[in-house]
Parts: sequence; structure tokens; C-alpha cells
Amino acid sequence: MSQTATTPRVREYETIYILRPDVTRDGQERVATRMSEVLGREKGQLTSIENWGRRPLAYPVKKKKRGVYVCLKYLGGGGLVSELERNLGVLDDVVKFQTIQLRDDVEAGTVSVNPEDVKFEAVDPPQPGEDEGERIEQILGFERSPERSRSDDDAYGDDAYADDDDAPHSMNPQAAAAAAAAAAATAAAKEPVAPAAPAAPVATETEK
Amino acid sequence: MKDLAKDRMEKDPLGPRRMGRRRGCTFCADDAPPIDYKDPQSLRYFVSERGKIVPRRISGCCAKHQRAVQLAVKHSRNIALLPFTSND
Repeated sequence: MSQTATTPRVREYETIYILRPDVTRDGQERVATRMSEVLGREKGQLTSIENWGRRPLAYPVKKKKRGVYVCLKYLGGGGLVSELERNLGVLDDVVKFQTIQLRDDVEAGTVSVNPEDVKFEAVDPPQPGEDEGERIEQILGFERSPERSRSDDDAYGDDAYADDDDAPHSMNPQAAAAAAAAAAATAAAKEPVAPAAPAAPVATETEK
Repeated sequence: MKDLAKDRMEKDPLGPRRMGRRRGCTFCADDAPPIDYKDPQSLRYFVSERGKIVPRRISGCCAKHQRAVQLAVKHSRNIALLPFTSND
């Protein structure tokens, strides 16, 4: 069955692009207007544009450690995405971009757009000296601080996980010893008549 | 009397491993926040210090949500919000 052509069905996409950290306000505006031009040409509808500002990258991209993130949300078809990405690839200020499909089969025209959301706000270029900020590991708290306590490790919920992801079933010696001791304790509780419970149940095979 | 602890030892040479209660999938809760690749801070729990994705066994996610987390981490890495690896 063919679909009736009364309400065109489109998809909702989200594109994030990263600009060079030293991009001027003008450069940011230029990229944003180019994006809206492409959207207009390909009959897409911009639903929001967000400038996240200058932030650290998790890894260097084109030898840059920071970048200006801009997030676009729009409605359109697949041809629009390839045209948009082609344009992003051409622009020199853009170092990286990624498009994600958010929703499939959206009725065009049913999505209301807040005019505030489609206004692009550029951020100021960096002042000399403020170039080096926090790195992503520090922001996420991945960096081990020297006074890191034992309870921090437990935050992940399992000791076996600590550092040896490749040998998941191996237990560290203390944990194994603790487990053995706990097992011995339960054994002692079960058999109160028996003489002093052996320290390690594995070692006492002659008990039978 | 059969020694239960010993019995378990024989079945599994490593002995009883899990101590404590296993928690359910955090995303299956009614008031769970959505899994968002744009928020690396929220994905932090599902990534090791090395940047590896934490297995289901440890994260406690159900299969469905682990797949969603996995995809979110990969999207996040691709746009440089999460590291592929961190070696320091």
C-alpha cells in the first residue's frame, strides 16, 4: 500500500559539529548560516541550534585539545543529511561532526519550533592564556588522586573489576582469602559439634 | 553432614564469588533518566577509568539497556566527549 502524500513523513536528526578552538565569532556565524542555508535548500526544518561553547575534547583532534561544540536538531530526509555533512566536510573551521537519527517517521508540520531555539549565539574567541583548561579526565573524575581511598574502588560495585578486565574471573588474593574465611565460618555455624573448624576447607580432604 | 561450603568449592574452584545483593537495572526504574550520549558525566558509571565499557556483569544493566549504553558510549566517543582510552 502506498502512503498518501498529504502529510510528508520525515525523520528527526541531530548533528553535532566541533569547530576549531580559535574560531572567531564571525567564523561561527558563517558555519551556522551555511547550515541553515543547506536546510532551507533541502527542505529541512531546523528545530533547535545550541552552542555548547568551548570545551575540552576527550582526545586531540587535528592536534587541538579543545573545540567549540554546536548541536543542531532538524527534520528532513536522508538526502539532507548527506548534503549537510558534505558541507561540514568542506568548511575549514569544522574539525569533526556526527549525525544521529533521533526519531523516525515524524509528521512534518506537527513539530512546533520555539523561535528562541533556532537563534545561534556565538562565543567569544579565547583570550591569550586561557587556552589550557581542565582536561576531560579531570571533569569526569577519572584521574586517580593520591589520597584515593579504598571505598572509591568499591563504587564500581565489584572488586574483581578493579583493573583486570581481561581476566574477569580471577580474584585478588585478599578477596579469595576473605571468601575462604567466610566459608569456613558458615561451615562452623552449621556443625557446632565438630571440633574447631578448619581454617581453609579446601585443604582438609581427609575429613570424611 | 554435607559441607555446603566445600560442595560449592568443588563445583567452582574459585569459590563463592558474589557477596551481597545484586542490584537491578538502573534504567528499568520508572524514574530513570534517559541514556544520553551528549552527557558524558551520566555515562561515567558505565566506563572504566581506562575508558573501557563496563560489562553487564558489573554495571547490572539488563540486556536491552546495556545495548543502549554501549551505543551511547560509542556515539559519545566518536564526537570526543568520552575517551577511547586514557593512558595516564
